[in-house]
Amino acid sequence: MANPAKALVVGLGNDIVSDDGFGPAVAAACRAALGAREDVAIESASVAGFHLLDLIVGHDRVLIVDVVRTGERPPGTLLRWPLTHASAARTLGGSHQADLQTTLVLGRALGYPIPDEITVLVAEALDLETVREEMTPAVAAAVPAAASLVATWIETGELPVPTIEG
Amino acid sequence: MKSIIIDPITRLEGHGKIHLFVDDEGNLANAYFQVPELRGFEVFCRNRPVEEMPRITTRICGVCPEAHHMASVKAADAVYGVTPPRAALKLRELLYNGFFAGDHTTHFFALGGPDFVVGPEAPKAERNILGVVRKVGLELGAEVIKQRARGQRVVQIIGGKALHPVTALPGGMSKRVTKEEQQELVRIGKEMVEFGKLTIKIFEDVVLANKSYVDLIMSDMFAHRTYSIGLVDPNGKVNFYDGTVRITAPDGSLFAEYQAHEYLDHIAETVLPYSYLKYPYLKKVGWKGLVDGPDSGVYRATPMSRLNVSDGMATPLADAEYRRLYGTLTGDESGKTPVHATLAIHWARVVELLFACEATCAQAGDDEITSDDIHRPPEGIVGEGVGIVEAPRGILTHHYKTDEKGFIKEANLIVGTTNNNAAISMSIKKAAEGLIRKGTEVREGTLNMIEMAFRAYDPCFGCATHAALGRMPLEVIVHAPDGAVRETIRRYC
Repeated sequence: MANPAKALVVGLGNDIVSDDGFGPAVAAACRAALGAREDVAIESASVAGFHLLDLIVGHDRVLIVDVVRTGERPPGTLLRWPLTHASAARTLGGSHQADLQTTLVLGRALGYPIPDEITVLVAEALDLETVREEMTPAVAAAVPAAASLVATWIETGELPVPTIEG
Repeated sequence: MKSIIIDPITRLEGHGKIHLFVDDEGNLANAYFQVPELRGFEVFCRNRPVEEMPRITTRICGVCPEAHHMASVKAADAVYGVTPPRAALKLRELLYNGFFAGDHTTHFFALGGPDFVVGPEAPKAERNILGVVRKVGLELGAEVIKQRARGQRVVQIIGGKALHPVTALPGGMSKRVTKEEQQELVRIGKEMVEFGKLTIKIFEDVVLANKSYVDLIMSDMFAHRTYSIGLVDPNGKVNFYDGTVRITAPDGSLFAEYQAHEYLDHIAETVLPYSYLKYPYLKKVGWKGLVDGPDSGVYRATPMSRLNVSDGMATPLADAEYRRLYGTLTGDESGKTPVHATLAIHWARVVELLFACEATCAQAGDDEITSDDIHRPPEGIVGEGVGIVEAPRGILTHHYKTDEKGFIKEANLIVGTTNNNAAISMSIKKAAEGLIRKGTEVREGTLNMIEMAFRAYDPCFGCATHAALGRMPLEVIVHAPDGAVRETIRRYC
């Protein structure tokens, strides 16, 4: 990749599957708030596993915005997802299930310039099955706060939210 | 049996569940699997213009958007009653073969690899894609990634975007391919063929040279004598993009052939308790439950099924590999004796991978793909259309009905994995029944065998991309005859 922006924000998810559209919505809000900047790239992506590798290689630091559903927190709760929670070596149930951590380890093993710093911001989701463009109200309401957190991360590298316990 | 409801709020969701039912003796009685499925798709599509469908359906599934793009645009062609110019059809097919060449690569090395390249007896920590890379070397690992990128580049050149193609529209394509782009496609095609040959060599050295692997492929534990389904070209050879749907019986004899618009005469669906999944079956045979044999309408739609229904591959190297596969597994190189071993699906995938590479190379060299005549505007409307392609996991059917202005009134999809729901359940049962017996405890080993059974089908759970974080665990629930949960084993797969 030729001279990628140092920082990359990826809003991960599918914007026609209800709360899975959270990541892309946050990316859109950030784009509107920040305008065009050479030092920051903001992407929306509905991809997983190995496809993610193509997006993140070459950047210095990456923030991924996504959703999880633990059922243990109110929908819309914002948390940092610790990448260390994912096992680096596990059997796959399907090729598209290559989780982020496996993808990163594989990428590094193959000599790809994988960023040292990869941070994941997640919102607790409620509906990840219904095909519709609307998120559930509590998750939609969390978009501005998430966009503000992203702006803080871009400027300071900090993500001032609790880390998810697992 | 009473129904067991697992409260979706109190535990992690978005995971595959396998329900095992034991009888009064404590032996396995039945097995079902359950995965989260999207809902509301029809409502979402209603009243949208049919020409939007090829782009909407690519967004449904982040795993094989190219397959949805193509099945959808073929259905939309039919809704408008328009046949695209020849150059447009060639571009679509080239895009599709390039996609398959990349996709099958990932599947073989990430799925077949852990079981065959690393080996079924290898320690669990090694049986994954990282273990495959360690075994075959970083150089080949990098080649795998490059091959994936080649597939994406073909999709990008013809489809406009690398991951979610946008250029197929009713009546043809919206973007022409330049001479320079064609040169790049030819170069990619040649590299792909070399990679395909390399993959065959690895399969030969690592799998075929090891008798225990070949025995495992042929193991009865993973065999079902089902019907097979797949698309064939006018010469009876495997084709991913277009052709006639052919169904062969468990003994290999021709059972039926149909064109896309006739699919409802041949395929019906049923729903079973506890699973919530749809189980398609052959209408003219009938649903007899989760059993195989000629009297059961259960069919399989996998790379192996496609080879079973065909008379061979349309490219020379892949055709030679087709004959070697059948010669090895059935003793009959012609392919007229079908292979029913589930783990042979991995081998069939390698044969198809080589075919996709050769086809990409050959079709890239056809100068007609740079023609300007790539779109024929629709002039009337039929109001109903069916499009069928082969997705990597099996045959994919899109069926739309529209009003007289082309706005969707009804949409029905039968996706790749769904075709195999019955067979996957049967394979899980077969793998589990040898391990679950009266007085024995369900252990980790049960999960490994079950995983191996369903991994061969590459079942698609990829309806939501939040799986990127790896939160897609497998849960095995053992039920007593009264439905009560006896044991639950969970782990991340």
